[in-house]
Amino acid sequence: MFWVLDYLCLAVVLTGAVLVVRLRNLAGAAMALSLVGTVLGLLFVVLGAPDDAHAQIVVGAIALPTLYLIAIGKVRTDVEDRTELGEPADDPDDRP
Amino acid sequence: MVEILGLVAILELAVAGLLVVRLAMGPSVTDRVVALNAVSTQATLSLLFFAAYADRTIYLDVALWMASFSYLGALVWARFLERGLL
Repeated sequence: MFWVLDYLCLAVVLTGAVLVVRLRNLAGAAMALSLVGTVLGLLFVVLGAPDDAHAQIVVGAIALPTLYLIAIGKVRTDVEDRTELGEPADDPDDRP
Repeated sequence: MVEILGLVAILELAVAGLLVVRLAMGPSVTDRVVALNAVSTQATLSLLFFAAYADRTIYLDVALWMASFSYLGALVWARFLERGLL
């Protein structure tokens, strides 16, 4: 039964990686990156490497998306027109 | 009996796959944050059940780290949402 969990982890990682590239919303892309890090950590454990999974969870699931988030936030403060970032113009529902 | 634990681990990850759909098409940022946090919880639970299935106590350590750091990650996302940077 190991291989079902194995391939399911791989499927989620692949879906998340496609989402990172394809999502137009930059915050959504950073969240998909965090998803990839989390499920990749789970995949490391399933394959029998819990020490690598530690590093993957701390760096790949938390620190790296946070760095991207800070970078995106700093870029956005300098751009007046948000459509210049390559994102679609905001609808009012997208604001928290 | 042990097979059930592995089956539950697989099903938890399948639920995470359903949550990926919400993360992909969630209309607002808050939907995506909630979906991401739920995916982290599902991955942690799947890891716990897999540790019980594989009978390795060292895997529980990874589950502990994943639970505590997903909490910190959700805190960071909430802080950035609060400041309106997203």
